[in-house]
Amino acid sequence: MANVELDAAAVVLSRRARERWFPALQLAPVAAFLTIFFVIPLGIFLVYSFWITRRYELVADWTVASYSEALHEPAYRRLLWNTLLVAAIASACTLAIAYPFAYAIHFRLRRYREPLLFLVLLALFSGYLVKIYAWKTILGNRGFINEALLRLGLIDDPLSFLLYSRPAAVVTFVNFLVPLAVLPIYASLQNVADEQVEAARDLGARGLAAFRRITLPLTRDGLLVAFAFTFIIAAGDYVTPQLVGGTSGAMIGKAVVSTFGVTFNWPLGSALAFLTLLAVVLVLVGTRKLVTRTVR
Amino acid sequence: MGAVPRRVAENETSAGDAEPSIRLVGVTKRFGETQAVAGVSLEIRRGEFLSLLGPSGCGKTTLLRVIAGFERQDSGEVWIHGREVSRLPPEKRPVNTVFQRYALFPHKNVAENVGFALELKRRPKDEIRERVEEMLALVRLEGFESRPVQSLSGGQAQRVALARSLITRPDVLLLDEPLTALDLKLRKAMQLELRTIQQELGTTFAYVTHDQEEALVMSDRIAVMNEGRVVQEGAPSEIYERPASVFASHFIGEANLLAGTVVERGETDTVVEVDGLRIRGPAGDLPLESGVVVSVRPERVRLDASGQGEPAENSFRGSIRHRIFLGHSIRYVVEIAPDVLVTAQIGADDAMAGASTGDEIEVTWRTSSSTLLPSS
Repeated sequence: MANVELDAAAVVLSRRARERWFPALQLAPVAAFLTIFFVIPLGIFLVYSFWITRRYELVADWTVASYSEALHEPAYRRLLWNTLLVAAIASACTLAIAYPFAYAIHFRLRRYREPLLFLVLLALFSGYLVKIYAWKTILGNRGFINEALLRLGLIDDPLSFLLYSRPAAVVTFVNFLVPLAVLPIYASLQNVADEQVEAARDLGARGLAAFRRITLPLTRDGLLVAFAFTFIIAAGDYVTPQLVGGTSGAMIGKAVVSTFGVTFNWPLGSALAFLTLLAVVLVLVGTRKLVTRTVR
Repeated sequence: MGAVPRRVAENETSAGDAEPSIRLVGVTKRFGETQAVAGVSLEIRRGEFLSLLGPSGCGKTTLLRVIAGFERQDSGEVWIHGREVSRLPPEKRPVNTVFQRYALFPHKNVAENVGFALELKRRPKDEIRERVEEMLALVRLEGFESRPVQSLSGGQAQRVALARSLITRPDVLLLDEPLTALDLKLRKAMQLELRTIQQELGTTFAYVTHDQEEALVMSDRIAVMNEGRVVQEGAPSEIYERPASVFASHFIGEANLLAGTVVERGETDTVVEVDGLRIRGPAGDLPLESGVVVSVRPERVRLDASGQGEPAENSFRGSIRHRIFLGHSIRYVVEIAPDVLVTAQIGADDAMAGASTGDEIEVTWRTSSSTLLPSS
């Protein structure tokens, strides 16, 4: 008798323990992965950013000199500003394209929903460098646009500003960011039932008012996630500005790479990277505050 | 097909006094291959509670959505209070809708949901607050203003939806199976509550339901729909007592349906032969030899052990096959001829309530209790 009760107690206990430890165990692999491959390297570079280099060697001499150099050097400030500007324009254009598309597949093109989403995934996973080079050939001096305009006799010399410019960088970013933005927006549109929009119309809201007061607030979080995805990726990218951006489309990523790789100034490179990270986080937090206050 | 009565909206004499609240003229709506609404003409009077009753897929919800403006009819007209609204968007029509699954706005609290229509009209804040309070009192949810709508139970959510759609005092309220998602007990309570609110406000209610009992309990008038058409309309008692078709008698309430042939047409009655039994029904204009279905409500059928009870024109001897206890009443299924079963429902305090399966018994009903329907 007593034995049975004891066994029962043990079972209860072990179940309770399991309930407590299971979630922790489930989280453990990803937590370990992120700690080893993300948090620790990041921490190391944070430490480096407060060190100095002497004859291309890192020396643990604690100082904020790198930060002050990064902040006072006009070239870096211009690059950082340009980075935020290009990323913001690219994100805004991306959302302006992705939202109507996601809206259409949720509300209007239901029959084609699956093939369209499949195309989105296809676009998402197709090569990123391929897209950049594609734009290079479209916008270049011997590219599709210039050739067409030349053949039509509309211009005598190729338009060289098409490539190596800020618009070229924005166009390329938009091209590979749109599929990434469609998915969170589409997911958040699942929260919006036809009946809710109909109820708003029924109660006297015109189409636009119903969108502004019902659909938009209900998809706000999806939009914010899409904005965060696209802004972070655009602000951190250095291949696109390097290949199609030219001087007006230059961004901080390239400067960070060359500070590490060319001048071997790791503290300055780390400081630039952390300042960029800080700026991006501030933009995201600010946007979130602004949007949650106005869209409701 | 000839059994389906054509609705007579053109009947000017009845529309003499007041303009009806809603007038539908020959409304049709097709979705691809499916004819959802097949030419409905219908009038809903001012202040009336009209139920659109029919099985799922009969077109009742589509018809309601056409009135609300969510669907555009393929042909026909929609008039509300003497004004044609056939081409107006939902926001321009003086009707509001209560949806089956409430359709509350999840990012707004109860007060913001209820006040939505007034806020759209940019009414002063004080007025909105006052009206919201008034509406919440009407649906007995005082003090719920700042609750998030996710925290509401089904019944509360539906009451919020009701308050939200009544706050602009619409001429007509359209309700699309609003109680379906609630449990039975709550549904019964809400039926009475809805009816009370409707009478208090004098608003015209057009109420879609597939639940015949609900329609009988709440309505002033019922329009029975089947396959996109209104097959019968009238007061609940009228529809219950005098169903116009086999479909209506089958769908509304329960009925014994006995198929046979007219063999005699007298001054006072008609005789129908059903599997050798001669059943009497009221005199009518059904031709001799034509196929008919005799419909008899179970509660009109009496049981009699010895033939001593009050006389009835229809009287058949049979044996009890099933006895079903329902609490307040008892239902007997009696075989009066091989494979001809008649269900009788009697009160639990009836003298015959003690009869049991296998007993030989007399089954009786009056001529007037038989309804003769042309078999389609």
